[in-house]
Amino acid sequence: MPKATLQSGLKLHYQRAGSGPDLVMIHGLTGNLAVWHLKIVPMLADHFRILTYDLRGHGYSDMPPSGYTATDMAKDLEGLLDQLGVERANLVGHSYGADVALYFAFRNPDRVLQVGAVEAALPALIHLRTRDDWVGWTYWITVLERSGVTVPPEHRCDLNYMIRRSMSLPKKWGPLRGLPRNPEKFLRVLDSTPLASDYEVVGDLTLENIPRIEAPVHLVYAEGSAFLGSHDYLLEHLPNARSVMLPSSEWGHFGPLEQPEAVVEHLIESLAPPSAVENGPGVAPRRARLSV
Amino acid sequence: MMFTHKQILEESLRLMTELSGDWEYSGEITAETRLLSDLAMDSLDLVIFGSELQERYGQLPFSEFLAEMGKQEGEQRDVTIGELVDLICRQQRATAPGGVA
Repeated sequence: MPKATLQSGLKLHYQRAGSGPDLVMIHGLTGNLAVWHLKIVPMLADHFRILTYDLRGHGYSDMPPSGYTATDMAKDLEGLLDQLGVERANLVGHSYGADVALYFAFRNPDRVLQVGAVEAALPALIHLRTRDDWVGWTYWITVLERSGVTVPPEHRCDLNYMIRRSMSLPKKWGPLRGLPRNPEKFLRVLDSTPLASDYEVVGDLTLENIPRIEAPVHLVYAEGSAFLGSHDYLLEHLPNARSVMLPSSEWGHFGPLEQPEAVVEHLIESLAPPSAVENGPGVAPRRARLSV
Repeated sequence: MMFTHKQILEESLRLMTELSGDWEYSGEITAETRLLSDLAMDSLDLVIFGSELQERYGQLPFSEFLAEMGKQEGEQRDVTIGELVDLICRQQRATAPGGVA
């Protein structure tokens, strides 16, 4: 399987498909590049030259003992694009992958055409979702309890606990839906690296730096998502952002898995208009919500 | 270029044996080996295997193939390497000049 060795020595597993302007797709925590390939990549392959990769500690990429902040992950992506000779690309990320895309866009304004931030969270906005009354906890507990997992009161706002328990649920999407997960590898990264604490490290993209992201950013969220607080903040503070609301879904945060067709439709419309491809990233920003 | 069933099978077995090093599987791999219950392949493994096959044999309806597999009941859900080779042969015939899908 194709792996790129970065200057740092880190090996990242990647896959390429399609032809057209460059599009890099970045998966979220607990995921790997397969999340894009099962449905979305085949639908986008006629429009873009797609690069997907496994973040460090995930899939078949290396699992070094440290370096799991969003800033570190953005540096990995810089190294990967250098290695593969990709000068400038559209970036699409889901969840933590969307955070990485925004960090990359902040650090490398000349290398980004546009960003599709699907359910971005951002460490700088963690205050929106660590409080006991964050809607995401209730929503997550409901999903677990519906599947027969009881969450004791002392763990109802405990991210580490909740992630671990979620690993006991059967797979939810794709050809292996309903079959048990193989959580060993993900539990290994949680147990043997600082991923869980690095995830909260703000690093480069502070609140002050969010307005300095120049690239057009398409904020793709699902109605009712527990991450709409981040959506609203980013829409207000990014200079060149547009809101794309997907219909609400059972697991709103996992739009790419639940509603691949809707995500693809928006990506093609947002990132691949002929004028945008010919004229660079100069699409007019649209700050209004498309639907409420 | 058209490949024979035998050539595709041999190449698939060779490829699978090579990849299975990463999957921590050490048993013998044959046409009857099942991807899920024998090799314990995950979605990521299926994507990697599919991508390697498409690099060799051109575009395959691989995501449709996986979606069909996903419709089978949990216990029966599986596919053998031989069945995947059949898919590649069918696709080769369909895309050959004068071929019928």
